[in-house]
Amino acid sequence: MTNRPRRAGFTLVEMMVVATICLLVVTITVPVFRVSTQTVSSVERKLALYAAARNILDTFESESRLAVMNERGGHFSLKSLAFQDTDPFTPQYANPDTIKYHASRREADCLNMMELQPGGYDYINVVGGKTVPLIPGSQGHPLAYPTNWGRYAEGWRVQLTSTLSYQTPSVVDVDQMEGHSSIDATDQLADVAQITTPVHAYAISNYHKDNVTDGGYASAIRMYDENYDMLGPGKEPRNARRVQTEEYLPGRQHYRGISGIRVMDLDIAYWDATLNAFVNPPDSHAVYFSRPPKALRFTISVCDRDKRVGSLTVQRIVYLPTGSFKGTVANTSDATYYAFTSGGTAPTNPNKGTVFNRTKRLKNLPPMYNGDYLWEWGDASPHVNTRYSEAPVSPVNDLGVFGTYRLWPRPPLPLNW
Amino acid sequence: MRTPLQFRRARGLTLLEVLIALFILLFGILGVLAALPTGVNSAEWVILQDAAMNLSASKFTEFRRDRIDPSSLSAYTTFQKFKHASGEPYENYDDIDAYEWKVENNLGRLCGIAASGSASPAPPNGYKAPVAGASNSGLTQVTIVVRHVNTSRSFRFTQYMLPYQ
Repeated sequence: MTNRPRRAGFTLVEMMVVATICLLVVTITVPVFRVSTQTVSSVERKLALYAAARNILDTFESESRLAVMNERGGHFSLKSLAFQDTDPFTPQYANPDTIKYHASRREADCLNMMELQPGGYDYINVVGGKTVPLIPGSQGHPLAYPTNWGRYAEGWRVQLTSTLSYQTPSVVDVDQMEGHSSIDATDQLADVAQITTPVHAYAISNYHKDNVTDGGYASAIRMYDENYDMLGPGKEPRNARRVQTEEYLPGRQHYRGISGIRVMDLDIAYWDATLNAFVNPPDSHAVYFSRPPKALRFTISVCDRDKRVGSLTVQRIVYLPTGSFKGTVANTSDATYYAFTSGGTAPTNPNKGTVFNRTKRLKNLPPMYNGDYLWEWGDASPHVNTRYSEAPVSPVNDLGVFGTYRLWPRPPLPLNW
Repeated sequence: MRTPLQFRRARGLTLLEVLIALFILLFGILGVLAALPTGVNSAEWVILQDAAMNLSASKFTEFRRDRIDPSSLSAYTTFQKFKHASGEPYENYDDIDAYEWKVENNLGRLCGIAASGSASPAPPNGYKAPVAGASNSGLTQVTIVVRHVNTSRSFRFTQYMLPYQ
C-alpha cells in the first residue's frame, strides 16, 4: 500500500523538464511544417503555371486551326523577333543564341492569318432599313456566304503576337487602345512577367466593295474580295481600335480579342516537310506563305507574376487543316513584296513566286508597306486608299521604333537555309 | 489541511509516463507529416496530366500532319521517348526526359461503319461505306498513353482517325 497523496501534482522541476522537452519537440517540428508548407505553396504555384500554359496553348491552338487561305494562297505569315531582356530573373550567357527560354534572350514571334465567319449579321443591326434584334456579328442560320452588303462580317484578320513584337508606340495614348499592353518595351524587358501575348481579330467586311470599279481602281486589280495586300507587312491588326473612323473599316465593335496573357516567350516554328523538321525563321525576318504549312509548333515560356517558382517552357504542335504547303522556304532576306511602287501601276499577278515562301528581312521591306503610309495609285484623281493599320504609329517594319531597344543580334543562319 | 511534508511527498508523472506521452505526441506529428506528401504526390499527378494533354495532342497532330494511316500505328505500341535532340520536335519542352509515350494496342478495333457488321459498334442498317469498294470506313480508335518514365503513372487520350485519302 502506497502512501501517495490523493492529489499529487507536478513539482516545479518536473514541469520545467516537461516544458523544455515540449519546447524542444515543437522547435524541431515547426521548421518541418514550415518547409512542408512552403513546398505545398511552391507546388501550388507551379501547378498554376502549368494550368496557365495549358490554357494559353489551348487558345493558340483553337485560333490557329481556323486559319484559312484565299484563292491566291496568301494571308498566312510568320514573323520572328528576339530581344535581350534586362531582368535579373533570367541569366545571361556568353552565347545566348544557343540558349533560349531560360536565358535573357526573349522570343517575340508573331502569326498573322485569316479566319472565316460566313454569314455574320449586320453590325449595325439594320437590315433593309429596319432595325432588327440581332446580335452583331452573330451567325445567320442556316450558314450562308455573306452578301455583298458591306457590313456583314466575312471573316477576321487575326494576329497572335507578343507585345514585344508590336510595341505600344510612345506617341499613342494608350487609353485609346484596348487589348494591348500599356507598358512599354523597356519596362517589359526589365520585368519579363509583364510581356503579354494578345490575340487581335478584326472583322473583314466590305473589302470587295472597296475594290470593285466604283472605287476607280485600275481594271487589272479588280478583285471581288479583300485587298490583295491586306495582310502585307505593317498592315497586321496589331492594336485594338476604339474609334470607328469609316463604315468599312473595322472599328471597335468589329473587334474581338484576347488580351493580357502573360508569356515571356512566344516562339512559332513551321513544319518543313522536306527537311522533316520544324524551322524557326531567322531573327528579324518574316515569311509570307503561299499556303499555310501543315503544322506549327508553339513554344512558350511562362512565369508567375512574382517570378517565385522559376519559369516553365512547354510546346504544342498544332495541325492546320488548311495546311498543304511543304514548307520549303528560300532564305533570301529580300525586300520584295508586291512588285509595284507608290503611284505606279498595280501588279497583274501579285501572287508571284518572288512574294511568297521567302525570308524577308523586316528592315528591308519598303516603307510603303508600313501601316501608316497613305498610299495612292491608279488612274483616278488622287485616290487615297485608307490605311489599314490600326494605330497611328511610326513605321514598324523599318524597325525604327525599336531604335531605343536592343534587338538581339541577328544570329548566323542555320545550314539548311 | 495538508502540511508541506505532504506536498513534498506528492508525485507527478513518472519518466516512463512522460516518455509514453511524448511517443504518442511524436506519433501524431509523424502521422500529420506523413499526410503531407500526399498533396505533393497529387500535384505530381496533375503536372503529369497537364504534360500528357500537351504531348498527346501534339502526337495526334504529328500523325495527322504526316497523313499516317492509323492501321500503321502498330509500330508505336511500345513506350518510347519524345524526340528532343537539337532540331527535333520536342527539343525545348521542360523535363521532356521524364515522359514517354506509346500507342495502345487496340488498333484492330474499327469503329462502326463496317459493311460486314463486324465492327463495334455496328453501323446502322443501310449504311454504305463512304469509299466505294471499301468494306469499312477505316475509322480507327487511336489511344495514346503518356506516362512518367518507367512508372505506372500514365494517362490515356483517345481520338478517332480516318486514313488519309
